Amino acid sequence: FVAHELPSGLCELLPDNQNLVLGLSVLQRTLIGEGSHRHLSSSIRLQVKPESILQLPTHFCEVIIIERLPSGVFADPFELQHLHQRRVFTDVAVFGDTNLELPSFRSNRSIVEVHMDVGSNILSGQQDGSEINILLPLHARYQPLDEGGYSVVEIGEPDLFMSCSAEGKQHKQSCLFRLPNDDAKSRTGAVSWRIPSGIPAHAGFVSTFTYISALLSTLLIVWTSIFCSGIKASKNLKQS
Amino acid sequence: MVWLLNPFTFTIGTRGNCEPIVCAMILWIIICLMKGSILQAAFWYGFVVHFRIYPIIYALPIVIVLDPHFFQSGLRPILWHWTSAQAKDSQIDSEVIDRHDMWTAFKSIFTRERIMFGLVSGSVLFLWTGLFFYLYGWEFLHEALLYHLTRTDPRHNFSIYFYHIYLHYEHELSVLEKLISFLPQLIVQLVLISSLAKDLIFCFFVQTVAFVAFNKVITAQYFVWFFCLFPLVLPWSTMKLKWEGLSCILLWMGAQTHWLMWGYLLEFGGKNVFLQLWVASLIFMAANTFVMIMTIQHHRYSPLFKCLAKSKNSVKIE
Repeated sequence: FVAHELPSGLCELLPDNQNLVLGLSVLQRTLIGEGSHRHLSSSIRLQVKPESILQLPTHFCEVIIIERLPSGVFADPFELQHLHQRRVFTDVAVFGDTNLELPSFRSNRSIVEVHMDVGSNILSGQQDGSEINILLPLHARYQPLDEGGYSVVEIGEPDLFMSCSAEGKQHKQSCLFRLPNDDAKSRTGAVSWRIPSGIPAHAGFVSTFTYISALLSTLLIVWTSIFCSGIKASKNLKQS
Repeated sequence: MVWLLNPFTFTIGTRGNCEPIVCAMILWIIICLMKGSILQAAFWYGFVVHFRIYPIIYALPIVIVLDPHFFQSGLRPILWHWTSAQAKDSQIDSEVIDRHDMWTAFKSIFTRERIMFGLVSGSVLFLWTGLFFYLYGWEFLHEALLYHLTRTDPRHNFSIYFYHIYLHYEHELSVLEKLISFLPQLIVQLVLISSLAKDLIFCFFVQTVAFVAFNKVITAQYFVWFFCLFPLVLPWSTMKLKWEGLSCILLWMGAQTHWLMWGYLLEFGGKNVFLQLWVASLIFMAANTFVMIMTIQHHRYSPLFKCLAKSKNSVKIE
């Protein structure tokens, strides 16, 4: 929903090339935790260049981070909604495959959009920059079978936007910036997630022993129910 | 105490699952049947199957127990009044009832009570399903019913089938494979019903334990389904807590804890322990089977109702 056409009232007050005003760098992208439920941590540095101090009315900005997730991982829309309710994020949206149960070879990619508040008056040069840390909870899907026992899922660089709004005299004015981070891309690279996967060599004996085990249990229960239950015992009792 | 102070029941009951409500409805259905309120039992049965599908396994034992020898229009069914001293006599008597029923089963399958129960519970089920279909459309029908017919969850769970399903998930399982995995469930249910249906509550209990054990997906919330019946069958067990009872409890819990250890290493440790986890599922299945066998062997067969024809010396329970 960033594609919404935003009114350009605030934008008119900004220099033509906002890139001169705003500097952005993704300092670090790491996966926190272990196992199937981890957090993708992105440290983003937002800097207003000192040579372009602006005189703007009171405004509020939020960073919009768009993650394109591969089919091997997913973000839980309900969990993100919960974080939104707790005001960790100012807005959230998940597009694409949100089925939580599907393994990766049956699912599609998904896109996660997260809005995070970066405070007020950031463009007025009152702050020389700020560092934002976004923790996005992610979950691993079941991976395609692999002889090595592990699959590697790579999460690429996110797209970053910044949206600012100012309380005008008559109406709220907003402006959306796309913040290029070409330099950052080369620095941080993709994040790799090593996820356990089933081993195809197990297929034969796992199926065999699963069915043998089910059959044995069935026979034992059937035998007990027919020959060893209280009914049988009472019959024996009577005969004796 | 077995129900209330069970960490499973209060954890699962307070995390948002509606299982305790389902359990309460099942217990109420049993009470209704014991009081002879077939219409009310049928209403709640139709409602509970709409709520959760699993109580559908109780349909056959209920129909069997609605025998004309126990239920006759205008008459309240007579319950067995149990004391430990009567155990021997009643066991012998129960055999007579069973032999008698082999003949009557063919003779009088379609009794008034059975038809009434079937029609009322079926109508209630269809009405509720129809109402929610009207409100929410196909999405409801898919989420509530159709999804369960086609569900094959490859993710790890207590079921012995999970790794097999995962390893074969990339190609569709054939009808034969699906049938083979469904057969043990079907056979066990039919055998338990045919041999224990008259002892209705115990039948419900072992049916539920077996249904959960042989299911393709087993999660901890399913255990609550039979925990609610456990206190009702406990008095009829001849099993001593020391050591038979204790060994059953420890084995069941031990097998589960063992599974949970490997589950933790897979899910929260990111280790490839699928094989160990599957072996732990087999061990848990063995533990379930052992507990079921011990329970059946040590259960004092106690039919719920007395034959109306032989009610002279019976005690009517209000």
